[in-house]
Amino acid sequence: MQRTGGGAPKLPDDLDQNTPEERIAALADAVKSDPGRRDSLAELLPERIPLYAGRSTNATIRMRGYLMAAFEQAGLPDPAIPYVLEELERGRDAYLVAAAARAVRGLGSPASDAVPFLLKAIENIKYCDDAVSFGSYQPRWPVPDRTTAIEEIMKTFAWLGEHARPALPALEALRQDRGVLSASARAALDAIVAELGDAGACCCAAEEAGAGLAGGGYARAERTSAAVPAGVELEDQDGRPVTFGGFFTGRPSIVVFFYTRCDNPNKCSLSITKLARLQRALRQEGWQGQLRTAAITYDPGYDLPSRLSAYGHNRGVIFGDSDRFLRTKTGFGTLQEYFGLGVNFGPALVNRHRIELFVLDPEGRIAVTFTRLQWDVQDVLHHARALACGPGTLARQRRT
Amino acid sequence: MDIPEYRRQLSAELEQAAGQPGFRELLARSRRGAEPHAAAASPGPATEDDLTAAIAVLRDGEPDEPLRSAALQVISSAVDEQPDLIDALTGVLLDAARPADLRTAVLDTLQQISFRMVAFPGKRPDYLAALRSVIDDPDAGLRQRAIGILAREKDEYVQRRLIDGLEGRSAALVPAEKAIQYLGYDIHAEYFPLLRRIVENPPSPAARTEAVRLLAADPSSADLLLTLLSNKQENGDVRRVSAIGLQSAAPARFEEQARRIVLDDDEDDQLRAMSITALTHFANPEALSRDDELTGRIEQLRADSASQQVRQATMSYLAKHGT
Repeated sequence: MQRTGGGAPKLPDDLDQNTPEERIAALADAVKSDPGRRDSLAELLPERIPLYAGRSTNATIRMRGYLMAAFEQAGLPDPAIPYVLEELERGRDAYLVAAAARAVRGLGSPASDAVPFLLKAIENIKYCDDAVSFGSYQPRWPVPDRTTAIEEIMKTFAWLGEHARPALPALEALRQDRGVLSASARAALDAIVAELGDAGACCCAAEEAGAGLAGGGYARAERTSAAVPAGVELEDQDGRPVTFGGFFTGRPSIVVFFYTRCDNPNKCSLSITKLARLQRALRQEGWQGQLRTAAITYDPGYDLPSRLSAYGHNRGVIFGDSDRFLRTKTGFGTLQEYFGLGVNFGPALVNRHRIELFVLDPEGRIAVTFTRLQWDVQDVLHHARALACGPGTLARQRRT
Repeated sequence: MDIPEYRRQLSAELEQAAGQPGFRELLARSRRGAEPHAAAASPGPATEDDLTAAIAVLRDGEPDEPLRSAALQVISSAVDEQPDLIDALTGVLLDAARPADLRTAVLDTLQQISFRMVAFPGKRPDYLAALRSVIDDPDAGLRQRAIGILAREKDEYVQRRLIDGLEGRSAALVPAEKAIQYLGYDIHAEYFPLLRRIVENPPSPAARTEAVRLLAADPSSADLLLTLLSNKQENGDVRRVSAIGLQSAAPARFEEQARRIVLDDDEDDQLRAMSITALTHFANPEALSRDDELTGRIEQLRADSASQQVRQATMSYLAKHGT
């Protein structure tokens, strides 16, 4: 499976925040029978397109889930793959996770790369699974064709066939934990395990597959030509004012985006916890003061200094002059544009966002971007150290 | 000791300690003239016969409430070993031909099981699907219980139906104030524009108060909350809820208003007491220590106020910030 990055999103036709949800659903239904247009569905997945502006979180989930599920029949195009993997790796909503599991079955051919993501999805969803339906858009319950996220994951493992073999040890272990599975999911699991045979023969394959995709996030080196938004006014967790240029220039920086009201523990809460871990690693390696760390909230109206401070302290963040949580006083839109943030907003708060971490050079320019999949502390450190040491360091680190 | 064995022992002991007749005895009494249950006289763990009889009691729509309760107890204590008993309970819940009070009791039992049973996650999708089917039930009590559970689960379907009801797109499932409370379990339900419309054009005074309460989570509603709080002609409950909301949505603006309320001779005492308490605990202590006008006013209120609530609040304030 190839992992591809999304370019600048283009909004097809006249779709925007006023487009009725039903029209998006009809588009997804139409593409199921006209797979040549599947790329047009992938173009509707970036979070920041106007289609999602002003909508509720639930409306966003409904639309994205219905679009994603359509890839099962239409085929899963490369640009949609990161969105599907992200949902499997981080998702906690049964509708979206079920849709992502279905979408994997739209790959041209089964691939074992999907295995770690499907296993992670089981871990994420097994205690909060739900009955969902893709038979129609916004169905009225009871529905005749319901499924669940775990049932869809099991169907995808079955579809993978021999390519699911790396999952066998984990699936065997899941059989011992049968209480978390519905009767139909248990039956499907039993059939998969029986089909794949003995677990002992293929543990090495499982390790290989896990090592390939589990770590590292989704890094992209880039040098943006956009002007650094030096004048954007920020306020830190102690209420101290600072401009973007004032904080993010002079030394390289690591910046994470988040908001305190995020209700997915696999996203903002985890990102900030990992930022604290990263700060400690920097100190242990003697980089304290040579690199700045920051977390900027998507929700500056609500995330006042006291809330930023409490959120960080509760997750072990070390605050100081070079390590701050920030909210914009003015110019959030400018930052959104500069970083190309994968976020959108309902009437009052974030309705959807991706995971995003940026490594900035000493001029405040974006040097490396980690988006969508959860990043790895050592991987980020590797890039940040290289920037701190100057040009050519990354290549030297790689050679050694 | 293994856990199921301990649970069975505890269950039997509780049954005996309560001095109440157990399921077997109640069943035997209700079947007078019929063949007595083999183990009617003996307490102890539920047998397969007990479970079969208990399910039959529920499916038959047994009107005898103590027997029904005992049957539910028998099933509830056995679900850990036999999770599929939950399917039988769900079946009764969904059976509209059974009495509403029986189905409500079954729903309560299922809800208890849902948070105490280790193996419940495998049944959770069916349970939630069943609840969604019940939210249109003609019995208001059963309907409201199911809606409440789904709302706490932040369920998309129930939120959609509640909003449809509030927007007038379909018949309301519950009174408007209850619908607003239920939506309030999920901050991401994004009901804020709807709530602002309800504040302007409320279906009932209670609905208006509930709508104001939830606006606390919306910083962009700070102006509206400020307007409500500042209006002395406004309903007292609405002003107090607005004060709490403003403190959450825009703490600095609330502090300005709280100070104004304390200084104003013509303000509501309850609101004044609330304002003093909020300033005591949340305002910037340095700013308060420089505010001689406020300190003087609070000392005056401590001496002169007719409201005990206000006097108590001033004492706390002066203990913390007084010179």
